[in-house]
Amino acid sequence: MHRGLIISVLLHTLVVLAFAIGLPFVSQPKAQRVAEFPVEIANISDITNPPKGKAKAKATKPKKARKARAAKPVKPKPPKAKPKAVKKPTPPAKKQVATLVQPTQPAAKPKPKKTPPKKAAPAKPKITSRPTRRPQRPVRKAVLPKPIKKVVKKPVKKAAAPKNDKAVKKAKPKKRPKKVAEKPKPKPKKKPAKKVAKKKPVKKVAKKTVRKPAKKVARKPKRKTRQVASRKPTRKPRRKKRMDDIYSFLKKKNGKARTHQTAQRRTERRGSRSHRPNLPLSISERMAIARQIKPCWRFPLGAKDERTLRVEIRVWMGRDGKPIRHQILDRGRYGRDPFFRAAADAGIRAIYNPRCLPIRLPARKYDTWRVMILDFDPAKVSEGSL
Amino acid sequence: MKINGVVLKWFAPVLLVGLATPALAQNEPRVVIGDPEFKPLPIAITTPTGSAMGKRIAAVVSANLKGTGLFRIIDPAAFIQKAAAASVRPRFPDWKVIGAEALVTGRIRTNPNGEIRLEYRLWNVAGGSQMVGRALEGPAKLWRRLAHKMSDGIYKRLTGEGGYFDTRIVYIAESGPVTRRIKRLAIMDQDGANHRFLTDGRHLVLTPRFSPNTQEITYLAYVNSRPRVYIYNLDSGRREAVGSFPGMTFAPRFSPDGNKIVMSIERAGNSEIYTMDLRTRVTSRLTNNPSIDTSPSYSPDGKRITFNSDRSGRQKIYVMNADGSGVVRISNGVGRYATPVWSPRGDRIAFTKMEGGAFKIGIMDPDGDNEKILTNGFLAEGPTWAPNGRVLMFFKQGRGGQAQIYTIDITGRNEQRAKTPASGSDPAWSPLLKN
Repeated sequence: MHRGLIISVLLHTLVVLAFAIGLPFVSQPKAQRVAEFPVEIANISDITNPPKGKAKAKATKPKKARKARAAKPVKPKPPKAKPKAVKKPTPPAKKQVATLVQPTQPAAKPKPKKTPPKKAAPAKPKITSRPTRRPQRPVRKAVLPKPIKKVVKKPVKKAAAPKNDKAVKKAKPKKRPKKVAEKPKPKPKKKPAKKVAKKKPVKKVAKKTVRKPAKKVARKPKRKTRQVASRKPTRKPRRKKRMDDIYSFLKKKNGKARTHQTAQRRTERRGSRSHRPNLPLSISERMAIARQIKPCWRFPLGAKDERTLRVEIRVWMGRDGKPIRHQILDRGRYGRDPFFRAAADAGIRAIYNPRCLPIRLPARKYDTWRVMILDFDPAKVSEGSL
Repeated sequence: MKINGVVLKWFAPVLLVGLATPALAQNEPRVVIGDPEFKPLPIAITTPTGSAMGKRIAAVVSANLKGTGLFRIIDPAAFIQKAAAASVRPRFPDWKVIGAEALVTGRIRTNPNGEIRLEYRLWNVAGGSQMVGRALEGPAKLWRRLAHKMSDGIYKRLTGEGGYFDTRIVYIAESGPVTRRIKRLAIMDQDGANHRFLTDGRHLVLTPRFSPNTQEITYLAYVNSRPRVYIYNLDSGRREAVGSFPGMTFAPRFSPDGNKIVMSIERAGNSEIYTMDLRTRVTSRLTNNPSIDTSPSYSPDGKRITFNSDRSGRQKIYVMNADGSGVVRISNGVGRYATPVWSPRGDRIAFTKMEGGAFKIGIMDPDGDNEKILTNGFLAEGPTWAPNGRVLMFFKQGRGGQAQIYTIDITGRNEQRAKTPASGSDPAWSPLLKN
């Protein structure tokens, strides 16, 4: 009896334990279904396509943008800085020169202001190269207007008053540059003037002009002659130099350079060699185009077999994002099917509707979207809508 | 060698272009723009110059186009360029500025024979091109028809559909108390103008239908308490009974060629569908079923007929061949279906549906697919198609109210009440008027 009872109890406890422990493993809980939530898909492109660099992309906007960026931190008048910089440079340079001319002449000895151009001709290139540079300096100063004035005025006064040898030496270099601007002249004396112009702090200008003139005059002229030989040097390299100068100036002035931004700019300037202009538009870019045009698409809803009225239009786009011309791909149907013609006209009206123009497209991919096909298809949903 | 050189010189470029073209085409990015939304087209309608009548014509054209719901008429006060200058050569930037996408200009001249000549042009403002340029001539007293035809031309070019403005409506004008209601046959232009009564109201009249030639109307009249189908000639004003049958005849409708009438004839409590050739007066029975078969309507090609029947136990819509063969039920939804009418375009069948204590007007494909309810009400019945198959007319009556005629676009938008001098029901839309 006891044995049987014990066995029975044991077996029952085993069964109970088996249910308690084993059942959870036998019947695995079902995966809980989580409600679906929308996922926003960002820029989808099969291949990463870094932006074009300066070297390849001559897109004017980015350059201007960079200039603007460079100009802004320096001082006010950012928008007007560029145009003024180009135009004004020469007049201010002349003025400076004019003020400095008198003292330099005696030191220069040989050549009076009205030196015959023919004799100076061999030297011209050297000289002319300088005047071209000078105007550029004022460009910077045009951005930083105040320093220029100070530089011009103060040295003149100081130089004129003492009439010492040193003062004379300082003055000389300044005058020659002027002559250069007016007419060709010797190389050496100009450089000091440049430096004077460059260095904004008024006090230092006097010192530096005293020290450096001779050395630099000796070195640089040769280089300049080369430039002159090539005639009209392009402005781009100079601009780059200017930009670099501005950056360095900013770094010094602000103490801490904004490394991230500058690095970005550098990469922009140098350009990404891996940029491929012919990569197809990404889904998000196509979606953006569709989103811009669709509000102006007035499709004649309710037409017979309206879902078959698919109209494909090839559009030639200008860089400004406006269509230049178009071509309906199915010209035959346009001529014979009034429903299709009405639908095609609706598509054309959408493309040219000023309320949906210009179409905002990535400028760096202009080669890609210069010609594109707009597919007005009432049977489909718009690009990227699903 | 020379031949090879020539071949290379002339055919190589061709080959290269041929090979390159598909490659270029593939490279062109394709942007799909779909799922169109309804937006009315902004259109500027200038007053035709050259006559005082121009203002009235412009008003009629504007009302016609606005009534479709497909166009937004730009207020003339916003016009920058004057109509006179625009009729010579529009200055498109001026019209773009005010948001016009289409522009209508015109001028009126009087011919030596006294008729007027209405010249109008439709311009594509965005492209700066002319889309339509036409001239219409007619007696000055028919200036409204000229305006309607002008509206039709504009509508057709911009939508692809034929217009429906130069049409007429025949309907049952109702007056008097409910217990002694007087019902008269009346006719008017689609915009409510030129209204007149065709019968005096002594006999009850129902279900008028236009013939394809628009000069005849068939309808049901209770003359001497006996319902019979009659034909009324609009030119002569004469009325004629269609055949002589022992039972009741009702629900008549012309065949597309106008040579036959299809109708229901009730005999011994069983109504069947018959056709009668109007030239030979020969009748043919199309259905043979103990249930009620009625409301027949031809397809536009005349090869098939849709009708409603309760042979399945409830009122449903069926389609059969014009000779009565091949009967197929096409309505499968819940509720009762009645008064099917085949669209002049052939792509839809309009119907009345009774479901849940309400009447509904809807459309479906000829095979029964894509059923779509356009409107509903306490009593909404009797759909009739505009000749372009895009707009429906029907009548609606509120609880204890007067029956009124309405129009609605097949997209379900733009439900509007038609202008009638009094209460109206059972409308029928004529085909486009000829000449």
